[in-house]
Amino acid sequence: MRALPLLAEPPQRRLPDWLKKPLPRGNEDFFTQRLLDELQLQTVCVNARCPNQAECWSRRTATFMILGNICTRPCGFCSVSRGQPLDVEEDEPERLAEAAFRLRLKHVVITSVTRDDLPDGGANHFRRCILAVRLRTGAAVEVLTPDFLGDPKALDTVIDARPEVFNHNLETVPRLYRRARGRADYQRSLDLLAYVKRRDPSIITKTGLMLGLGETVDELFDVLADARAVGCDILTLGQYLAPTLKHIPVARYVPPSEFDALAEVARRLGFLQVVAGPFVRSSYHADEMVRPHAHADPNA
Amino acid sequence: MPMPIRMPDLGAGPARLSVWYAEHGERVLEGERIVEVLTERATFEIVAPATGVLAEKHAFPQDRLDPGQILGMISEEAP
Repeated sequence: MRALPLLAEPPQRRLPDWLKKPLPRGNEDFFTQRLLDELQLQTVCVNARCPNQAECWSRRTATFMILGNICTRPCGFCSVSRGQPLDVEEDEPERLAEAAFRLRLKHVVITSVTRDDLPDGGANHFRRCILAVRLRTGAAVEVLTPDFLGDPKALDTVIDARPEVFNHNLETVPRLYRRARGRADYQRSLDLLAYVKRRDPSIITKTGLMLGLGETVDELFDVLADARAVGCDILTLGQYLAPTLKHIPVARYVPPSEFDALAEVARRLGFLQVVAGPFVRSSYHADEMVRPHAHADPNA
Repeated sequence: MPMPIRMPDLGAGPARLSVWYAEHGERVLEGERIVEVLTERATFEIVAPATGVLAEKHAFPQDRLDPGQILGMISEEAP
């Protein structure tokens, strides 16, 4: 595995004013970090260099990343290392459940690298993690999965573990897929969301998009309509921020007012919940997104 | 007892101090923004961990910062 070169130096330039965050107190003792280190768990917070990490960790929450920290797909927006993944760690579900228990999480978000090298894409490992967390904590579980190459058997494996929320990010508009998402396929991702809702209408489905990659507003509207057409319940919209100089550069910094306007359009399309803003990520405050909609209404 | 202003682990890549909002010897309130830090993905405002006087600055504009580093000290009394 060859790690991508990171920014050698911190930035000199200033970002737009709306990309400024206050840092809440509460993580002075590095509780979350020490726990994750002790249990040798990966998070997307670290691997994706999330700007919300300090905020979330000070709230003693994190988004767990299972199946290792090496991805089999080369997406142009993502800072997770790519290469030949290591073996699946059989005890990871129990370690994850232990972390969720000690963090006292009521809503646990589990994501993963894409594991196209595994016969089931890692679906059974997802299932084991969902069951382990539920058994140890009783918490609601939200999964943010790769596309499993569209394999219905793999999807069934995860669905049958009955996560409260099934998230799969469309990430961007179809025109930008080749550049941003490499081997992913827009229609396959859309079909995944449709399949989950069809198989178990009580599972809340969720998707997210990054803005500022070069998409047009009309293209965005089309994607929102597509997501609603397959019954997607929750939508997140956030600003794309390039992890390093080797990644796709930011085409545009979208002001908060535009996020608000897009969120309003999305609500009118019928999403149960829309969260939009420069620092919104798919698992940012995920517990609060779901609370008013503990169960999706199959008749909606 | 003096209270350190510690650089958190931002997780957003290399960080640089851009500006202190308080001067040496100035009184600050707990929770008040005290120093600004730039990263490639966000600008962060670190708040004062206690009410007191900004007694020491250990990092300055343009300095590269590491998680856990002490940026300054707040004391209860005027220095």
